[in-house]
Amino acid sequence: MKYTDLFSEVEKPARYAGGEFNLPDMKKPHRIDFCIAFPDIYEVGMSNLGIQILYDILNKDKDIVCERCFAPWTDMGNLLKEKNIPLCSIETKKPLRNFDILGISIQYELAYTNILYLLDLAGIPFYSEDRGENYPLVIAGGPCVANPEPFAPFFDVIIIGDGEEVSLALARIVMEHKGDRTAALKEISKLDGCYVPSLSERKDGYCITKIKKACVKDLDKAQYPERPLVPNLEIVHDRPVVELYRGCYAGCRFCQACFFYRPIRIRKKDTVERLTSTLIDATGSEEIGFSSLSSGDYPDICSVLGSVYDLCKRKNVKIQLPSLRLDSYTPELAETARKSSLTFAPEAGTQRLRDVINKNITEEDIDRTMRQAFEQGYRSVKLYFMVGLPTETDDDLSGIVALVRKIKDIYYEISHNHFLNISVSSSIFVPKPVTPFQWAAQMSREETDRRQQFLRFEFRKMRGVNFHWHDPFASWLEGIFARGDRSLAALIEEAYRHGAYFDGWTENFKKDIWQECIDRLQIDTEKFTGSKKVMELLPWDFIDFGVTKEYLANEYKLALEGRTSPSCKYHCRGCGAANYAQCEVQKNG
Amino acid sequence: MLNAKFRKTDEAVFISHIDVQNAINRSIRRAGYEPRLSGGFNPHTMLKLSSPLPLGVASEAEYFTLYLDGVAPEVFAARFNDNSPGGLKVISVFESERNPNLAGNAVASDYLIGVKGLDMRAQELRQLIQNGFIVKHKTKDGVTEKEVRDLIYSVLPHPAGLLVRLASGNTTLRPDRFAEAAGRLLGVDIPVSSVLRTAQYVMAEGELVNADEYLKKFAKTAI
Repeated sequence: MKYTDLFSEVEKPARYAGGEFNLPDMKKPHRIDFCIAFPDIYEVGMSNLGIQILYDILNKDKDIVCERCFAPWTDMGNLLKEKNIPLCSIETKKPLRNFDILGISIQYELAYTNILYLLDLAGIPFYSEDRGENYPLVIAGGPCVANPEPFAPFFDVIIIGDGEEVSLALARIVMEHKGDRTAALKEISKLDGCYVPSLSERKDGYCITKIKKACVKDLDKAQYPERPLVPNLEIVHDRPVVELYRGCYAGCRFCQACFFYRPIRIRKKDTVERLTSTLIDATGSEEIGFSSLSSGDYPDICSVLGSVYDLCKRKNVKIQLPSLRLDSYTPELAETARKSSLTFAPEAGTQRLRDVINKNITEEDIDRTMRQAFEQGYRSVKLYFMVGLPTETDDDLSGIVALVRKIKDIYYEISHNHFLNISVSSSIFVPKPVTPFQWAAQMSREETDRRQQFLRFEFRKMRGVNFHWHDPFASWLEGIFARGDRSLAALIEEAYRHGAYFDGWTENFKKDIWQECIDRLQIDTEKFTGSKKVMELLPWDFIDFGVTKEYLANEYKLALEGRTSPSCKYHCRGCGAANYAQCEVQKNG
Repeated sequence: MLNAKFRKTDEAVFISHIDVQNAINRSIRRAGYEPRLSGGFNPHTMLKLSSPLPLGVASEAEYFTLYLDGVAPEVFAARFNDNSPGGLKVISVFESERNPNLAGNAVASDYLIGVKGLDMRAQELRQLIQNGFIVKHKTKDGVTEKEVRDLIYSVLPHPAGLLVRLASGNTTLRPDRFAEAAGRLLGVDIPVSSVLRTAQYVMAEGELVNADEYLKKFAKTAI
């Protein structure tokens, strides 16, 4: 039985079949082949901008052919195992183990078992030390590499930072040293952003070889996929995306992306406009998205959106503008976007706690923004909060309820005729590396559960409010891995071998297996979820992220004192990221 | 108004009906055409597709109708094909004044089942069908069985295997279910990938008429 014969037996076979529009030339003569693998299904992976960027860059190189593979859903995975057929790439249906390089993008902690799922289905040994010349060089990238230690033993190389330039450099080295893995790894380890666990020096269980994050200095000139693949089935974010800028000025103390992606580098207005037009023509999409960590902080965002708005209106294209901060919302901005629902993230219910987390928005901001939105005709609002934030008390939880009630009151002051639909989501705070809260304790599962129950009870009484909450066990596990060390690789393997995979999918998340494995391996979870001393050595301290530990520690201190730090939009606050590339501080402050 | 006959082959056989609609819509937009949009809050391209194919079945006789005027059929076909995914290619285009409503009027389809040696067993299969022909499919509540003898128009030998004509349209016998049932009766494995839709028919004046001929009646120009 062939790989393609399985397609007729599984759900949504277009996930595996390929044949998308804008497919690069897979038949060109080349020196090495690269497969980008994503440890989640097609619909999730194809929505990832990083995958599209790297795919484009690698395929534009005359010597490289780059293909894709996404984690097959359980039906396909079971069939592959049952029929003993190895996992293959989408484009040429080539077994993953026959590629020169296999690059796995790791986006979230609950996907760690899926790394092993991919390797297992591909017939590739899990551990780097067990793989010889006959297997591909297995490399990792993505945001989770901020602390790569829990999965480090599975990889030959871990790319930390922006992948655009370093991936090509790494591929060139593999090309030059084909057949000599040791020599290739030695060369790769000299590149900025490349962590080679097997060649790194260790002390007391921690890596001490310094690794500098890879950084694209000029984002405006960086290659961008102008002809991205157009999926043949509906994906999670089914639209082309223009990345406005990388990094974030805001400095919310819980946010890893803000600090991990600094320095702040901006794509110029002309480039954004040109890309918008090119992407609409190249994909035929009816929607276009603009991506960044806080769209409203892009310099002169209204002017940019104004010019692309005319183009989009002419071509009947809708604009998606995610990641709007409450304080950057203006009626002009909302006018350009589709008016289905507005999403804002106050994150905490009281001003005190919002100051602790440095979410620089005030009650007045919320009041003003909501009034403007409702006056414009919005009748649906989504609000994101977090529970379990450092220093949080029951008063802060009551603050969430009061804030939602206040928003309802504002709405009914303005609109008497229509019903308001409010969706309130409460996620659970997980302390992440490279944030000021990397030393903070994660709340226990029991206490998180109690706090969520309080909110559930309160919102059940409130008409028109839908309350969504996260599973405390899943967040607790996420917390263990987020700040975990290398000893956790054994836990990932143990859990996978006992049937844990696709853990990010509620229907597939097997708490019992995880708890049993944690007990069996006698993992001291408190070591990873508990609070840490600022002077303590952390598993990711060997990585130079640009943002210094001193800066983060000072921010943590300010947080505990309930003091805010202003956004660095107009004045650099010396976080250290500017040592990598010039941070774009804006002028009109 | 343009009526295009297109091929659904290769990887595209795994694209679902709704996604084929999206893929065609995007291909048209990439080609730079601006067909008529629906009205309302969320305008979308007015695009009518012929009856859906089961996933995995290829076709040389799919159709879509588009409200687009002033475009020469041959120009449309060339530009569409330059902008469509590999397995979705227009074969011919008929320009018409009004909507032939192929999805609503189609009643039957021909399918070529490309399994070697099956041509020798056409007669045997016809006889077995006369005795009763039950298709099975899985539902949430288990396996459902249905007698579908009346939905089979003909079973003929073909150099590549079998050529069968089955009901399709408002009343449909899915070719994948037919293939499974026929295979079960004959003791042969008939994979879905061996099935190819070769023609669609509408009922006109009491007779089955090939959809191409039917469209030509409406056509002002055609390629």
